[in-house]
Amino acid sequence: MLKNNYNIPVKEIQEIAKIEDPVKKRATFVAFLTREFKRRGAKEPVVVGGLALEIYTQGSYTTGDIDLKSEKEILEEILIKWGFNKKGRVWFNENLDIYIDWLGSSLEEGIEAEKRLNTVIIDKDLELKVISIEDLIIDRLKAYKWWKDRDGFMWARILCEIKKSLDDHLDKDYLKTRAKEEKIEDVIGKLLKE
Amino acid sequence: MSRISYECLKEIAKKTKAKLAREGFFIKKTQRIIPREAEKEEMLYQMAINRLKKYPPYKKGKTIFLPYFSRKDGN
Repeated sequence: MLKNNYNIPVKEIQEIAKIEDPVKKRATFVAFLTREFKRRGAKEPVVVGGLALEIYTQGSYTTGDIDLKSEKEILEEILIKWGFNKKGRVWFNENLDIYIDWLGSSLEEGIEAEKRLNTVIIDKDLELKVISIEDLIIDRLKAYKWWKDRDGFMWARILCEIKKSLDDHLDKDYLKTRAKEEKIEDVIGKLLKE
Repeated sequence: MSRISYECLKEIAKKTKAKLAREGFFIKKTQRIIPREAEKEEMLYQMAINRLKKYPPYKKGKTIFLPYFSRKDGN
């Protein structure tokens, strides 16, 4: 187990400890992390999985940890400095009650998914990169079909509504292409009919 | 009947989670294998839609603004 003797040295991190709402706490933490990556001239981390859904639904879905894609070495440097410990691929800070599941350095969805990333603004000067809504829909539908996650289809429907609310067209061609790759054409067909 | 404060419960949960993490056990994300009752699923769907209406997001270019996070009613 990697250990360090740092206390939490950064003012911003101390601010996070004061946030009560766990949804806002996780999002704010990633925004600070993103700022630190940018300050170091590194590629910003990308939020995927449950936290991406938690952010887009503004907390209607809740998760326990932060699913993140990022450059490994820089992430480790920052997290050690910020008082995190590591066990396996998970980084955690007991005081902050924040758990980060590092899922690799690049998106397995490919270059097209990288191009489609959204910048999400959560407050003044607080932004983060999040996987696109279409790619997240595919992620939830995969869970629905292959992992028998019964709620996956409902969250995919909600993500479609979020797209509508943004006055943004749902890229059905992209969804169908991705669905074919993931062998979930039947499920995407059901979703697009609704 | 014993009384326990929310703050106390929160602290216990936080410490327990950290103790387990130090031992290499992480609370796994749960997946719902058993279907929800239709009414319950509809309620969850409606709750998410209501939040979407209460905090309508908007987009400028490739940037999405999410007002829930900058709300001033508590934190």
